[in-house]
Order: sequence, then structure tokens, then C-alpha cells
Amino acid sequence: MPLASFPHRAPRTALPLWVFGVLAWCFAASAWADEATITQAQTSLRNGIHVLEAKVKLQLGAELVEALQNGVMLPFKIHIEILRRREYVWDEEVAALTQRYSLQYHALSRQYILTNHNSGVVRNFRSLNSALDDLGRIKDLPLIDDSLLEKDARYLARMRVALSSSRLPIPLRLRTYVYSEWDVGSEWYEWFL
Amino acid sequence: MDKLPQHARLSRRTLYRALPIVALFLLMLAALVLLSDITSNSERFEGHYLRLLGVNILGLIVLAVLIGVYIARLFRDLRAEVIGSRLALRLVTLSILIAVVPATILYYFSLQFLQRGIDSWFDVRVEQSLQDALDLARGSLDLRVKELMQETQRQGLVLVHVSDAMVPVYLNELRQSGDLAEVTLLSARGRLIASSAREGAGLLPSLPDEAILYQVRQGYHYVGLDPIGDELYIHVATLVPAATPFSEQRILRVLYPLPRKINALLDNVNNAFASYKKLVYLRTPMKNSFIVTLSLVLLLALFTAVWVALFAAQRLVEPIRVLATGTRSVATGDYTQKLPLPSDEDFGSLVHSFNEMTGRLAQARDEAESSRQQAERERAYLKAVLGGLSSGVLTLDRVFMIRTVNSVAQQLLEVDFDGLMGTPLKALGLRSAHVREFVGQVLDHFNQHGEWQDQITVFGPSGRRVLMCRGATLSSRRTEVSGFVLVLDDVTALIQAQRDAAWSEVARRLAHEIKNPLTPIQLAAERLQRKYLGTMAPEDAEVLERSTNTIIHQVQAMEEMVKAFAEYAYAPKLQLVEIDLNHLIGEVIELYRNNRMAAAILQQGGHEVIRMPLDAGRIRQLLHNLVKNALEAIGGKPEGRVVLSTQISHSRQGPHVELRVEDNGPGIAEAVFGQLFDPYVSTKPKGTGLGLAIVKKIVEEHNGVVWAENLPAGGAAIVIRLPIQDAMKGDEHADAADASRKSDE
Repeated sequence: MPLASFPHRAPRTALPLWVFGVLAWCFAASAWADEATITQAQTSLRNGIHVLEAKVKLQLGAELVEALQNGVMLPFKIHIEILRRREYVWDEEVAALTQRYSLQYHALSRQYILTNHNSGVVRNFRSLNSALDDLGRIKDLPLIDDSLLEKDARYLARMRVALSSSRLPIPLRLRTYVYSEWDVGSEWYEWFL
Repeated sequence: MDKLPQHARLSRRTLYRALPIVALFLLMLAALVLLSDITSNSERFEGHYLRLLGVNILGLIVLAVLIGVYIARLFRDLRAEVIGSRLALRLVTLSILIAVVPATILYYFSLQFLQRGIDSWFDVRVEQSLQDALDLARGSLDLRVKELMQETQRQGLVLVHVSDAMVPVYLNELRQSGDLAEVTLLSARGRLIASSAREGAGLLPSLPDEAILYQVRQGYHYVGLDPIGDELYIHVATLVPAATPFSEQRILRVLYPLPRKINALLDNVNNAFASYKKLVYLRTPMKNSFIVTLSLVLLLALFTAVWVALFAAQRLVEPIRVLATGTRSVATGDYTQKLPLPSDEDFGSLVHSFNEMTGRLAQARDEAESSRQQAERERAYLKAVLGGLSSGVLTLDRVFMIRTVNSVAQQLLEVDFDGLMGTPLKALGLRSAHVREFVGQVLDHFNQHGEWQDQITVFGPSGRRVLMCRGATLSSRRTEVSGFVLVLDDVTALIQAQRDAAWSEVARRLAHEIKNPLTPIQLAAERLQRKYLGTMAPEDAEVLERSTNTIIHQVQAMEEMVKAFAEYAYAPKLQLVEIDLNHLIGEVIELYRNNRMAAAILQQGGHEVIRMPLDAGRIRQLLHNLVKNALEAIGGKPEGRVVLSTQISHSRQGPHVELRVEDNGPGIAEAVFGQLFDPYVSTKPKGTGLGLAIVKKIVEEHNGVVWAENLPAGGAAIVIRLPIQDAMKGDEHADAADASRKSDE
């Protein structure tokens, strides 16, 4: 049955109000969620391969730290994309790369263990900040072979870092949808190749 | 009309309408099962958690909207006072109560059990013991750690004087002699100088983190229990002082392996502690997600129950509504509506009975209608027959209320029966004075006899009428009287004709039988005079002369009388000419200007010209007769007065002229009123007694009516009414009168 057949409809002004409220909430959430900032990212051509060098500043809120220290493994991901610029239409994705990390607290040794799932490297850190610094330091990460790129096209690279909520334990997963502190993630950082 | 298949289709359609909801319910149920599976730590559908949640929430919204639509429709029906909506509301309320109350109670206790159940997993003592176990593990290694630290420091001091080139060899020796896991020499900046690691460990020379290097550079040792790979190692880093002021400081880092058994125990302690800690930490989020799942289950159950209640109520009420609509249409007289049969057996038989009932009602109605039409036709037929009758017919019910009357009866009685139907016959007498006596007589007859016959005279506005009345009693059953019938026939003309015929016969006979001997008598008397008068003695002659003169005069008088009779009996053909009646009246009055009786003769309304076809001679005779009659009535009365007046008036029969001849004499005796216009009815000492009879004859030849009235102020009036347009027909009328007279002869 169409809604129009309702004898009494809610006043029309209610809808814009709702939309405004939701938008405001979204902006607010994104504004508070800048615990992750990409401070620097650039690529250089080395031996015909574009390699990435980037620095990400990561900070965890008190709740995340608490979760970490209570044995919850925090999964992070760094997503990198290379796009070919096109006129009038959206950019074409040429390559995409995701670096997965997980950060864990070892209670017995009181150390933070950072695992890079792409390389398999595991490192221990006495302090959380060292671990986060290490996570945010990307050096000589090969992105794409230059021969795969067209000469006269313009390429845009972009990256973002985020807590990957889908790898969190189920009970916590809801929180990432509800609380902004749990929604850790940076904005897209873009640069030209 | 075959409605059955359509019905089956209808009910099937309602079921089809429910199918998407059933499918939605099943989908949501499946999603909930998976969701609860995931919530209880199953990893099979972990990735679909959000999707499943979304499916459920979306499904709930769809159900809520559907319920809202149903409820809105229900309330709209309630406001519009649609039949069955109240029942539907009651059913829905009841069903919702039945569903909601137990579900809510169940939900409340489930929540309680959930909270307490999850809380009961955890215990402060367990947590403390685990913490203690962890501390104990750390503590148990303290002594060993101290020894190893001193050992490493010693080795570091040995390394001071070992050149970089010799370091790998030395480190290798050191590792093998001490069965170490890894020995590494680093520059103060953290650059790897040399490293030796146990084979098969698969370890890469791992670099310590910047914080440790910094700490060591500052002159502090670093000792720690480090998890590397799956195992724990005692990790010691110490500064190797510079050999010379110009040489560089270096850092020695050694990983001491722990005995396998201890390693496993430590790992267990750590894992148990970590798992427990994680479980404690996740307690609240876990409860929340259980509550979410439980709430979704509750909402799904509730919404489905409410929807089912609404749907079922609608399905249940629909046949009632259909039945009510049918009843309403039957109440308004529409029997054509056939209700569709619901699939429900109870309602099916009810609706079937209803349809049968309406069918029978319709049949009965049709039969009643057709019999009513037949009765109506018969009634119309009867009315036509009655209307076509030359007799007046009046029917009364058993208490003498007027039921029917035909137009002839109305004409005969000269009464307008409009508005008198269903009123007592007596009311007729009260309303019209001239039929009062008639009504009285009729009622008397009916009260005395069942069947009767009588002649009743009615003096109506248009004169005297003799009505032959025949009454009969109608009886529906053997004994009971259901009404009366009165048949009226106007026998005035018949009686008159009979009387006229009789008088004509008398006149003819008189002419024949009396006039014939009169001439010989007269002749004989004259002969006696002539023959014997001269021969007789004077006294005898005188007697003879007187006697014969008397004979002759009397014979002459008798001849006059016979002639008058003949005139009355013989009606010459009318000679109708257009003349002015008033002019004619004027002429006649003129002749009486100097009459000996000294009564005044006046004309009223004489200035008006009334042209109409009249036989001037006969009208003149009529006027003479009337004037003479009036003058004779006045007799010697002083201030005698005769007034002739004419007036054109209109009655139901059309325009006519009313001629009144009024006198101020003694008036007419009641006794002779009825026979006033008959021959030889006169109260006067003189006259032939034919004056008014002739007047009446002339009037009737002109198709008019004549009657007499006594005036309230004294005196009498003769009133003549002559139709203006129908006068021409008088010709035919006279012919017809002639013909009838001839046939009588």
C-alpha cells in the first residue's frame, strides 16, 4: 500500500530535519576520528619500480588502548591505490595494494607485538608509541612497475590507513559502527606519481 | 451467476498476499539463526555479521511499515464505522496481548539470565590467581635473568678488545659455547655488525627497537622476556664500551633460550591470562551483542505475531463484513446481490444460507410484485369497466366507509368525491346537503336488508334526479360482511319519457276521442238553435238558447283544451336561429307593459347581448308561459313584481346561460314540488295546467334544465339553464326525442 493513503502523514519538515541530523552526526564523527593522519607520502622511481615512502601518525584513544591491553588484537590496514586520471569520467583503478598489520599486547613480557602480515615480519616494542611509529613508517614499498604505466597518462596515487573492523572480535565490531573513537581511519592522501 | 470460482480465487489471493511476508519471516529467521551462531563465537559466517544484522533490521522495518499500514487502515475503518472493524480491533488487541505479554516476560527473564550467566563466568579470584601466576612466572625467572645479565656484561667487556673483523668468529664461539639462541653485535646507532643465530630456529637477526637502543646507549642494560616467534627468550642488551677514545661504542644483544618445558608453561600462563583478560574485557560488548540478537528475535516474534493477528483478523472479519454488506443491501430491498462464498466452512454454509435466503426473498418479492401488478391490472380493468358503466357504482366497506366510486356515480350524485375515499358515507351527507337524505335512506336500507332496490330522488344543483338504487352486501366468507355495493341508475329521463309518452297518449286520445264528438255536439247544438229557436215559446226559447249556448261555449272551451293538449303532445321541429336572448326577453316584456294585474315586470342584466342558437317562437312561448305563471302566482297582491334576469356562468359542464324568473308571490307548496313540471299540476284555480310542462319541454328541447326554487325572502323562482355551445345539438336531441316518441307509438 502506498504511503500516500495514510490518513495522517507526518509533517514534511520532519524529513529534512532527519537528514540534517544524520549529516551533522557524520561530520562530527569524521572530525573526531582523525587519530590517524598521513603526514607525508611520496613515490620515487627506483630501478623502474615506483616505491612508496610514507609517514603516518597514529594515535589510539583510551578505549582502544584499554582493549589492546586487555588482549584484544587490533588489526590495521593501509590501503594504496593507483588511479589513471580520465577526463569527464571517474578515474580508472590501475593497481591496489593493501598492507595488513596487527598489533597485540603480550602480558607476560609487557610488550607490544606488531605483525606485518604481508611481509611476515614480527617486531616487539616496549612502548605503544614505538609500535605505532613503526607501523606508520613505510619505507621502500614497491608499488608498481613503471613499464605497466602508459607514458602520456597521468597517474594519481592515494593511500589511507584504518582500523579494519571486520577483523575485530564480533562483540566489538558493533562499536566501530556506533562509536567514533573506534572508527579509526585517516582521510585519503593523494599525490601524483 | 456463478460466483464460486471467483470466491475461491479471492481467498487464494489473500493467501498469496501473505506469501512474501512468510518468505520474509523465514529469511529473517534464518538470518537470526546465523546471527546467533556468530554471536556464540562461530567463525563460519563472521564476515556476514553486518549483512545479517542489516537483513534483520530491514525486515523488521518492512514488517513495522506493514503493521502500520494495517493499523492505519483499521483505525480508518473504525472512524468510518465500517462493519466488523470493532471486532477486528478486539481480535487484534487480544492476539497482541496473547503474543506480547508472554514474549515480554520471556524477554525480561532471558535478559536476566543472560546478564547473570555471562557474569557468572568471571570471578575476581580467578582473575587474581591468573595475575599471580603471571607474576610468579616473571619472578621465577628473576634470578636466572640476573645471572644472564651479569654473564652478558662480562661477555661485553671481553668484546671490547675484539676487532670488528674478528667479531663473527667470536660471536659464533660464544653462541655455541653457551648454547645461546642468538648473539648480535650492533653499532651504537643500531647498525648490525655481526650476528650468530642457532640453526633451524629460522630466525632473522631481529633488530631491537629504538627505545632499547636508546636505553642501552645511556648506559643501562636491557633485560627482558621477549616473545619471538612462538617462543620466549631472555633478551639482554648491554653496552660494549669503546676500546679507545676514538673507537665507537657497540651494543651486544643476546637471546637466551628457555628450557622447552618452562617455555611451554610460561606460554600457557600467558595465554590463559590473556584469554581471561580478553574475555573479561569483552564481557559487556558480548552482552550487548547477545541482547541485540535477543531483541531482534523478540521483535521478529512480536512483529510477526502482530502481523499475523492483523492478517488473521482481517481474514476473519472479511466474511462478516461481506455478510453485513449483503444484509444491508437486502435491508434496502436489493435482493440481487449474491455473496461470494468464503473458503471457510462455517462462514461458507452461513453465506450459502444467506444467498439462499436472498434468492427466496427475491423470488417472493417478484411473485408479490407480479401478483400486485396483476391485482393492479385487474383493479384498473375494474375501474375501466366501472368507468364505462352507464350506472353509478359506489362500494362501501363493512363500516360504511367509501371505498370506490365511479365517475358516473359522482355525476349522478353531483358530489366531488375527492378526499372522501375512506371516510364514512355519512361525511358525504354532511359535506353536500343535497345528498343528505339520499345517504340516510341508503344507510337505512343497508341496515335493514342485505339486498334491496328503491327509487330515491335527489335534488342536486342541476335539478331533480330520480335514482334507481340497488344495494347488495358483499360477503367474503359465509357469515361475515365485508362490504356493500350500491348501483345507481338515473331513471329520471326514463320516468319522464314514460310520463311524457303517457301524456302524449292522453292528448292523442283526447284529440281523437273527445275532439271528434265535439264537432257533432257543437253542430247539433247550433242546429237545435237554428231549427227550434224561432218556433218555440219565448221562455222555452230562452232556455234552449241558454242551454245551447252553454253547450257551444263549453264545447269551444273543450276544443281549446284539446288544442292545447295537442300542442303539448305535438312537438314541431326546432328552428334554431342565432338570436339575442335578452332582446327576446325585452320584446316579451314589452307586451305586458300595460297588463291589468298592475304587477311590475322587470328585466335585469338585459343590456348584455347573449347571442345563441334558439327557436325564437318556442322561447317566446316559454317566456310567455313563465311570465303568465308568475303573474298568476302574484294574483292581486299589491306591489307584485316579476323579475327576469339572465347571467352567463361557467360550470363544469361548460358555459351556460342562467335565466331566472322570480316573483314575490306566495311561493310553491312543498307538496307539488316534485310534480311541478308535470301536466295538470297547478295550485291555481285557472289555467290548463300545461304551462310549466310546456316550459320544461321547451327547455329540454334546448338541452337545458329547469327547476324551481322558493326564495328565502318569499316568492318563487323558476331557473332555466341553457348551454351556450351545446345548443346546436338541441336539434339532434329533438330529433332523437321525436324518434323515441314515434317508436313509443
